[in-house]
Amino acid sequence: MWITLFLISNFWKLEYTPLLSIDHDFHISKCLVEYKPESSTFQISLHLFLDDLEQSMALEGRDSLFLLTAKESPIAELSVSKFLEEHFKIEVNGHPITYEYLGKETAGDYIAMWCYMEATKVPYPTQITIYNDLLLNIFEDQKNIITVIGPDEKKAVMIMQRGDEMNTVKF
Amino acid sequence: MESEFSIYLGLGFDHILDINGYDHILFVIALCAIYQISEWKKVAILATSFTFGHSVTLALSALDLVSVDSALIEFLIPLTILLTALYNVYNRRSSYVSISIKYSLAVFFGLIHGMGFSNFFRSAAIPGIDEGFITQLLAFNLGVELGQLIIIAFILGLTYVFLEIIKVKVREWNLFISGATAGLSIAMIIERIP
Repeated sequence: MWITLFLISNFWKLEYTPLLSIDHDFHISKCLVEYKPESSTFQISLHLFLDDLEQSMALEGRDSLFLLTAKESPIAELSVSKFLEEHFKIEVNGHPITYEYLGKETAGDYIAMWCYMEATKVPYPTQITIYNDLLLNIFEDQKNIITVIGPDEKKAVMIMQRGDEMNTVKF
Repeated sequence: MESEFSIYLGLGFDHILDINGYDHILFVIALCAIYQISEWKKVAILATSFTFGHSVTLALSALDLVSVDSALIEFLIPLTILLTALYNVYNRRSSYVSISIKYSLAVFFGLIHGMGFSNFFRSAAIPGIDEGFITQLLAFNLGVELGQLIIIAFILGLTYVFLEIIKVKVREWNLFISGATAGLSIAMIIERIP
């Protein structure tokens, strides 16, 4: 009987859950991009599942990073920073802006992390365009949600998925 | 651009209908698929009971008032499917008492599924932004209910075809539905043992 059950459970894994662990059966990231008029900065917090991020980074040759563990690779921070630069881009009033990667920390009971970034000397935004194709290459059902807080606390929400990696909001 | 409300409504809708995580669909099938079209009132009460249960814990958990280990919830969810399926088989006569027990099960199991929904919701919601969080929660919950209505419409249609047109016996249909959902849920239970 146990052999049968074992076979059922493994058949299951092969058929339906080829890539993911049982920790979370959905693929989602969330992000807060907040404009701070007093300092002319964007403060960015990005929430990603760790296993998904590592899998996606490994596909680009950035493997064995062991993010947020005791044996985290010394080049981990640089790798994450470069990875984010390539997959998460912001334009303000039609012009690309650069941001600085500040750091990361673990989050929640699910195995996830927060990444923090900051862009300084940001011009007063009347139009914000965000490109975010994080993890879209590995998961068909990946959704990236971004809340943008613009000038005067005005809020907009964006969702990025396959085929729809860029969104613009006008304030 | 989509509004915040429509984005979170879409997330709830897609989440319950997600074929890669179909445990909620399977539960609704086990709960509702053994009733004939003439028993639609029972189905409506069962669905409402389940909705009540999962809305309560989704809200409580999203607002951080209740917190349960997510691995435990993911394990308990298929267990609710198995128990519902077993109860279908055990419960030969649909007496007043037995249907009342099933309504109670729908509420109680709804509480567990709601915590599952909140695991997803919490990965998508940005907490701490004034009324936005409540908008997101309401929209997400509404999306889940819309998805659930579609599942129920599909189930009632399917049951109608088998019971009324193909003339499959009610008991046989019950055993088929309960057996199928029980089998799938057992596989999930084994996979999710914490």
